Amino acid sequence: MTKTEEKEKSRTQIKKKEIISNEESIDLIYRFYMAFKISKIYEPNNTVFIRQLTILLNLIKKAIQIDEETSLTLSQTTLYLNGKKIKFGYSNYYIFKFINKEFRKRKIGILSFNKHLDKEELKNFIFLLSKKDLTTKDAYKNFLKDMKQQGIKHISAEPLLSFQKIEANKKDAKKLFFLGIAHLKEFLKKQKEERTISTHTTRRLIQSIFNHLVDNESFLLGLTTIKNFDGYTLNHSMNVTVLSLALGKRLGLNRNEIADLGVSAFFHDFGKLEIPKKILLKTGKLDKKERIIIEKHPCFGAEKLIQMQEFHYVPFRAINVALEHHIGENQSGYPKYLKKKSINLFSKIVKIADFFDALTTKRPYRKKEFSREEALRFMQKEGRREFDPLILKVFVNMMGIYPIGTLVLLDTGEVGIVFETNPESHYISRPKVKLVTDKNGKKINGKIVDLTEVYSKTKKYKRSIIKSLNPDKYKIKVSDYFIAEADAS
Amino acid sequence: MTNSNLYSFNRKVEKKNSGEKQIEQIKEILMMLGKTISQMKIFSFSHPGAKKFSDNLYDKLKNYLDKYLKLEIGIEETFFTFQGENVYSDEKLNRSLPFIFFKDGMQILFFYKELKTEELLEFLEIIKKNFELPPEKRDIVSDLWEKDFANIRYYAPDNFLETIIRVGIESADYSIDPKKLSTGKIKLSPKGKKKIEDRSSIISVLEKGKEIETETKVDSKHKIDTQTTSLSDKETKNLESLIDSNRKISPEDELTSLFMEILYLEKRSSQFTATLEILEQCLQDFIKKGNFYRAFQIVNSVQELKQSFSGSSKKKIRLINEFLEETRNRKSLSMIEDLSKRLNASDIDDFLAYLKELGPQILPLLSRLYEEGKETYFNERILNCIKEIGKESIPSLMNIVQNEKPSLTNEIISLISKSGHKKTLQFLASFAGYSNKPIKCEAIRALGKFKKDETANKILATFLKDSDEGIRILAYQNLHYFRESFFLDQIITMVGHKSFIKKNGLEKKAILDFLSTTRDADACSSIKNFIKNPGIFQRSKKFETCFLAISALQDMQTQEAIKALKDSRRIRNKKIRHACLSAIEEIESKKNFNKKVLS
Repeated sequence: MTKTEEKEKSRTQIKKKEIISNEESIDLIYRFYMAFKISKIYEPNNTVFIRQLTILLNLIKKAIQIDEETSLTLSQTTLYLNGKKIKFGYSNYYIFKFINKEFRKRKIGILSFNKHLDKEELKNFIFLLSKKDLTTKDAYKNFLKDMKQQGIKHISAEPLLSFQKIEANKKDAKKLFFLGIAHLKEFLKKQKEERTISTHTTRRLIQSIFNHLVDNESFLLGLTTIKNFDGYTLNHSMNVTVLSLALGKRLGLNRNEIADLGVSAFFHDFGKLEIPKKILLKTGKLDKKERIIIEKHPCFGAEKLIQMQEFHYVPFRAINVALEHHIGENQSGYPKYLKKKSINLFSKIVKIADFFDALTTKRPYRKKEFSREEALRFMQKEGRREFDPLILKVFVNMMGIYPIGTLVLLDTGEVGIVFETNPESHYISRPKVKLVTDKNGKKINGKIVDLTEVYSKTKKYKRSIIKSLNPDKYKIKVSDYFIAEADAS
Repeated sequence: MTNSNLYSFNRKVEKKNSGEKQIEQIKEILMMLGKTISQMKIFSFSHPGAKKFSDNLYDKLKNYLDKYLKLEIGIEETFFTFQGENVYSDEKLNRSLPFIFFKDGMQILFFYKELKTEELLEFLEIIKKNFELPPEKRDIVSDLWEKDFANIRYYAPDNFLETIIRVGIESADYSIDPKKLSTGKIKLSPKGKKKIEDRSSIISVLEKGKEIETETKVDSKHKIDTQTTSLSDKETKNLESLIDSNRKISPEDELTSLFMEILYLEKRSSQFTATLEILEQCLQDFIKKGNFYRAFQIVNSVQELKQSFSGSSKKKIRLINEFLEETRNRKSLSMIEDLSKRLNASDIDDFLAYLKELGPQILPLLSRLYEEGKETYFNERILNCIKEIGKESIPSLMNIVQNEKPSLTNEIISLISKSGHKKTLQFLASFAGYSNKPIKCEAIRALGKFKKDETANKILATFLKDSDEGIRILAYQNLHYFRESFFLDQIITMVGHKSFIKKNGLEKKAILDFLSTTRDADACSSIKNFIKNPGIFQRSKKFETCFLAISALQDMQTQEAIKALKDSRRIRNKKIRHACLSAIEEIESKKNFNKKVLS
């Protein structure tokens, strides 16, 4: 048998084998994650680490197929193994988040493992990854240099595409946020004038927001502290869209679903266009007649979406969401259905986002103001009949013990705003916080501090949260800090 | 030229040559891309011609990518570039390949070495779709985003959105003066200060590493319950199954049910009408696509919705009736008829289920389909459908019977007779005027089933005058006697006429048998007249009639009949004698048997 024939034979044999499954791909990424985490705690020769390393190497070898190497590719918001998309669900979303972060930090687009890779080389590589925190502009170049120095020959890295290298640009994210509000405003205006409206722009907008969410979820969630900009409904709809997209991402929805979910959330309050402003803005309690009118907005919204000229380009789930976002899990709320018994998943998601944003927004008719933390606690305690318990759990988990945008008092006497939650479960109460006052209470546009930071000598935490504070009481407008952060980026 | 200069010159030439080669290769790829798309606009993807082009394109791309690892194409309004050089152009915007990408804000398109055939085909499909749709209904960037190809990527910056959204509206951006953030001071409440002090004292006495645990104790009452926010394995599985089941929801099912709920909830009749109009549009779309299952679902749901309004909203019911009427108008029915000619076997049941929903007005169409249908399977189903619709409306069924459609008409007659309803008799009567024999026969049989009905009998009597002997025979066979002396006298007179003997044996038998069922003395006497020596003339006819008369008397079993048979024992003809004797014996034996059974 000639060499070519042998090669052809082996190709055929490999082709016959089933391509690595999604579960196996996730397992490989999980082992990578585990080895990385363990290497942060243990020494290279520790048995726990070596065990993980061996499993990882075996999985890499299994994944190496026709082309003598296996590659892990990060595209805009997706991870691929040997060119096959890895689908992450809720249970393993954190692994994706980890890989995405580590790749981007080092500006790596593709990581390829050659079939001659051995345990020693893989070990060196993992330690290089975990010990070196590269955040400089030349991160990729430096990383390659380090790999060369460590003698790593059978793992190669290719850079991120030039446009993907750009770090989650907060300025662009902010621009997109306000663009969303403007788009909805334009949409409502055209709808009133009965002019043709294209939902393609909305879909594109949602896709861009999602791209930013993958890059910098915390910042986007922070922008949802912006309230009542250009009227309640516009700003609220945008906030609900961001929150729903973040929740949908965590639930492992695919891209088509994400786009549908975003459009659905964006138009969830479309029916309010039909409600007289004097009712929407009424400061006192609504009387029975007014309540009946306001409770019609889901039906009005659903009808509007159905009637939109480009009916086929409005996802059917958007009609679901418009109609169902006030219906509780036990069919409480409104409207009351005639026959339909089930509530769509997207309606369940948007309902949570809608409720949370409404509760944390100042409204003329409500005396009690809820901080983000209080709102979550309220939803957890009182919302059993209202919300899907599992999705609510994911939402609360996503927002964290101290949700992004929470004003907190630190044990140093400083006051800060939670800017980024900590994904590590045992550091859940140690988010990244932007300092807004010094220890004497003087307002500052301070830096963002990581509450996991410890003093090198004493190993004690530099800062800890004591409690959350009511921003209104201290006349602090939380959203201003996020906007300023974007402007400064 | 020095050696080093010569070397450098040669390198430059080599580089230039290889660069030109690369450009040529790219031009070929893009040319092939253009040709493949043109092919795909005409043929389906599986068409050998189109496949040949796409295979060729893949090979060219793969060849290039194997060598250069990636292909980066710049996108301008009417041309593609590679490293700034124009490598493909098409200025006619409506068919321009570069423009299809450009119009949606794409600036760069990348292909990578791992490119798979399936990826390329899906990519081509997206391009094809974007060419097919009107400009306002397509966005190639959005489509590619959702596909998320591993080896085909693009660059389409967000500022494109800005250009679309910001057109005609004021700027919505918002900025903060950073100075504002560092102006002023806040004063902590005594409670807050106390907390800081408490916290410091706790930390100072704690050992290193125990801090997190204590921290929870310090502020536990204010915190969100983290225990209840993490999902157990079972909960994770439940969540995944919730997401999975959402994926399985059929958009059409969901949409139909949403339509019904919206119609149910809507109180404004103008809005109700508007929603119904859109629903009607949806219905038409489904029908045009041949999706009769969905069409059925819509009409069926509307009927159900109508029932839910019974009495409560007359206006809504009227509007629904108008909607239903629209589904049965001439235009709709003609469209359905056209579609029925292209129907697949697998769609028949859905098609008929939909037609059933339309009610009796659809019967003429169904009858045409039945008559034109060549497939037994298809016709059986249509017939069942006709029967089901017809059950509720016999007059509508009568509208589709025709002298020229014996097969369907017979089925309808049979169906009508099963109903046993007296009203059907007037329809059955109409068949007496038909010329088609099988139809008449079926009508006679159907009339015969109304055994205790004098009207049915009277209608049957009209068939006795039919020119066709077979019809008459069948009519006599199905005729019943209701002691109508005038009617009986007519038959007795007919039997007594000399022409009777000349009739066909079967007809004579039918008439005599009918007379026997009357058990009438006069009838008996008229039958008896045929039992005599046959004589010389018309001997065989006379013999035949005589034996038929003996048989009729045997069936009659009255005293008069038995006496007539006994009297005939004296007839000279041996065969007649024996036949009479045998008839008497038969009667006796039957009587004895009955006695035994009864005792």
